Amino acid sequence: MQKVKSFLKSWEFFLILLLVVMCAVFKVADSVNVASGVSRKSVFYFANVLRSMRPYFLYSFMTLGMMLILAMGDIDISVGAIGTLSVVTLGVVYNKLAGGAEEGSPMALVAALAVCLLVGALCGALNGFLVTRFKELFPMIITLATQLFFRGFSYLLIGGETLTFKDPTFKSLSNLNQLLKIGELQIPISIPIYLALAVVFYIWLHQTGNGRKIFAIGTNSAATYYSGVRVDRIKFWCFVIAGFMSAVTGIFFVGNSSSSVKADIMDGYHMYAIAAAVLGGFSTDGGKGSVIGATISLVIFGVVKFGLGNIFSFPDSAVNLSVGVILILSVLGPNLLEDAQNRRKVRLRRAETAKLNAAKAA
Amino acid sequence: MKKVLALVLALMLVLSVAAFAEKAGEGIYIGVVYKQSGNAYFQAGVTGFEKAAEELGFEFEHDGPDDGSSDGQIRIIEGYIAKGVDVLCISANDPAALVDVCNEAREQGIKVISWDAKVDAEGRDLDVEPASAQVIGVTQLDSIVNSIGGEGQIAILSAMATAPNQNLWISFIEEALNSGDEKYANIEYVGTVYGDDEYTKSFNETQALLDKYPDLKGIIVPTTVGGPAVCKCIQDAGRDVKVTGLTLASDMKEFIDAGIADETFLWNPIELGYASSYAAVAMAKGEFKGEVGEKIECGELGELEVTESDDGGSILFLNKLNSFTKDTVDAWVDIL
Amino acid sequence: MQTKKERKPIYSILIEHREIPLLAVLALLLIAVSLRVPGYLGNSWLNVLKNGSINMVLCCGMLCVLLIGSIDISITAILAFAGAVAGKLMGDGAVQSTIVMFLLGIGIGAVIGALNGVLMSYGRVIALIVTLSTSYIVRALIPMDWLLGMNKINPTQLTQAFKDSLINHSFLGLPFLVWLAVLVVVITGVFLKYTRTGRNLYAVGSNAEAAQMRGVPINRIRVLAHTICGATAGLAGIMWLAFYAAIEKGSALGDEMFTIAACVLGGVAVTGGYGKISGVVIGALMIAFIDHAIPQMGIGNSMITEFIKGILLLVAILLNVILQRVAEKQDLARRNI
Repeated sequence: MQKVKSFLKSWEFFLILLLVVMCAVFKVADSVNVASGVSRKSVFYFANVLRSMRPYFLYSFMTLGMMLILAMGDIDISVGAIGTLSVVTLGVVYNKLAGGAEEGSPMALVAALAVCLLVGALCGALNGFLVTRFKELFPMIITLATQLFFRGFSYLLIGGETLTFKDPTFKSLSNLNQLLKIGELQIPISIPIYLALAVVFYIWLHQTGNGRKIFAIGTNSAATYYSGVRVDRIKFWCFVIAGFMSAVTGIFFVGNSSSSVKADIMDGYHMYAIAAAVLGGFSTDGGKGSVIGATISLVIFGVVKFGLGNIFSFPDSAVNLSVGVILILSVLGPNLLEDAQNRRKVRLRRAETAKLNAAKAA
Repeated sequence: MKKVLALVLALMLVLSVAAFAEKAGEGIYIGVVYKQSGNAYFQAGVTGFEKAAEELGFEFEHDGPDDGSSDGQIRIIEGYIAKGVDVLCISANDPAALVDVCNEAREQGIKVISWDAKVDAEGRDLDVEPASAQVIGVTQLDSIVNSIGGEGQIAILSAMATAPNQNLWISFIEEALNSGDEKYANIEYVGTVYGDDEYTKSFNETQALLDKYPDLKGIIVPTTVGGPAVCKCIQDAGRDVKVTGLTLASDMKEFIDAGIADETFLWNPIELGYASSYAAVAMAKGEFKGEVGEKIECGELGELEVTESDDGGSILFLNKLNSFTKDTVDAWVDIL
Repeated sequence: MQTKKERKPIYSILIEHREIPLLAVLALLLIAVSLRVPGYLGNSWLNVLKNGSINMVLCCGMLCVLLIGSIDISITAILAFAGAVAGKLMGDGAVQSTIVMFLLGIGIGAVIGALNGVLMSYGRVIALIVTLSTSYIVRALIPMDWLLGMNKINPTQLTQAFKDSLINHSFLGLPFLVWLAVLVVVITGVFLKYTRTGRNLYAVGSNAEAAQMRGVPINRIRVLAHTICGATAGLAGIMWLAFYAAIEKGSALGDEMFTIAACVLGGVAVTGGYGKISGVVIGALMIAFIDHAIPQMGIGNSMITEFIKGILLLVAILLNVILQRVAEKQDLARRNI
């Protein structure tokens, strides 16, 4: 009973509620559209929405990395740029190794992928090093600087070119963009992969002592340090993981964009990742949030963008507007609720004291 | 009185039904994707689709990504696929990046036409372009050479360094300059800078050009966003530098009147949208395959022929470039 | 007293006045560019000042929010929005007076800034999230049909007097654009240094609880700081409109990072409570200079400009921290601890 009660009060429950309400609204609006002849066929049904989740799960891996950083009370705005740099190195290394062979070379692809992931991790390590060594500086400022650096470096590597790969080996990366067909359903491949990773992250963050330390750092870094946790080391590795996850996102991005690589991709992805994590219950203050919440919020963002764009025919920019509103409300709402609760408590206690005093006086 | 009114209304109804029945594109649904929202050039393109929609009776929807990225376009295209459009008309931010998603659409029976900026040949059914890249590039070069009297330094201010259209035009301009043609013998080309299709960046890059080359005589601006920025910068600096390029008439009227630009060019994006619509409707009905050698009737533009493009795909050229000069710009201001 | 002063090492002056090393770096950069582009300084100093003016104004507002330990990344969205609204009104003929345009911009900016401040202080939402959201929202309003739609504000929509106001009028050889930035800098400097409210910004930033104990209305101060920041952003929007004679949805997109960068270069602590207007001025000049100089050196590409900015920013802030650490060590050593 207690468990059910605490679940009903939890943020995740609220998110699920939000999702259900939104789906209901979209469903009704969709039926109205069809009935009134505005649209020719129903758009909002499960299989269709699921299939269209694909672009919105691109940055899901980045969100997993961002979660760690936010849980520690830090922020990393260079994740998008790390993704770009790792993808650009992927392209450059593959170009060098495969040397334009007709069939491509699987070995070269494996090597290039390894280098790509390594570069992501190294970029994360640079962030981690700077953040832990220069504690006087906000991680935001450090990652702002490294972001410019990573982006500029990607540009130095390939300039304004688009690297396009037509050989079947490299093209196999497009498989990451495939749809799994199960009966009527078409599931984007990134979703099951994401879910598998999310389970790993869930167990690590919420079920092991090691993961809980991350939240402890976010709640009170000094106290955690004095209780014998190697704060700096954990921080460093979290940044490395975030960088690694950005590289993973980058690989999916290559699959998504027809195996082509450019130096200006994934601009602004850090904001998507932050937005998804924050709606999922993480806060830049650190110490809270859950993998489940973040996963639901990824779905919410996908559904909102799909619904507003395809049912209400909002333009792309207005969809951003809704993201902004949801983001503010999702943080403001609970705060206001808490304030109201506190005020009520104070009022109750005052009334009680007044009653006591009155009784005493009598 | 009432009876007359009723009669008139009934007549109108009959007429409109009759007109309705005649329309060729009835029940066809087109998804239009352009490079970036909030760009007046594509507003004009959409006007072309609207015009054709009135004539043909098809329905269409249009959208472009907020940030001008190809993944934003992929998002929008996926949305259109989910909605079940019959034809996609795409002005691609990157020719290569959209190939997979376009092919996915084609597997579902959706026809893919690229307009204004191509999708690579293996991902499209037809490309609709205003004129060949060589014509566009060399026309601008000849115009600036005329403006500056055949000798002096010239520079180019382009859009993004990654912009495929601009890079192609610039390559033809450079080719013409290096061809040893008598016309260009006294022209010194100092290089290309990139304004990223942002007003300020274009402005600042122009300023740097002016400061760096005190003898600069002319700037070619093959992008609509850069044109007014370059002219404004030259105007503020009070320098005698001539400008030409691809610009909207409304943007440039002030500067053409002020004599900073003698002549600028643009095809009519309205016609581009209009022709794409006709091709789209014919394709959706299966009357037109978009193969090389085929001819298509495009409303008031007349009959156009599909030719082979240099990337091996099929392409439809309008072959019309409008020029804006002091005399003609006023007529275009309200259109483009 | 005298002896104590003598014992202070020379570099401690450098550390106390962080502007000095920054100035040195700026001078070095200037020399480097002048070597590559002869006569650079003579030709271009005015352009550097002109281009830097708008960022300078933004920096003054940013300084105020950074001092209270907050941050505002919606400034460039406010800039574009204020400019678009004012430009639209002028284009429709509703506003013709130049002065009214400026007041309008400041007003619009102040309202959005105040909203940021209220959400951040009373709503207890983290400043980064608030301003990220407002920047999404405000920017998305610009392409709405009632504002700009798919179009942008063109030079033809603005009155000649307005377009001339900042560029074609000058005083002592400097255009009004630059003087306006100087004016904002002076006002901000005086406000921060000589008024009680200004000092309170520092107090709230260095220790909010202590400030509250002392009777500083911290929430009101926070709202005030954000309102000032919004107002400067609105003003910058009108300056932008007057300078470039155009504004569109994507104007100044992403430039807020360089405003923050200028402040950090100028020695402002992002944790709040420390920062001087003089440092910020130099930081803003440095950014303006890099922006202008790098295309001149012929490596011309905006992405590479960003690359160099990134490296410089990183080096400058790390240098700052290291200097500070040395200073603390010296301080401890002097006191024989």
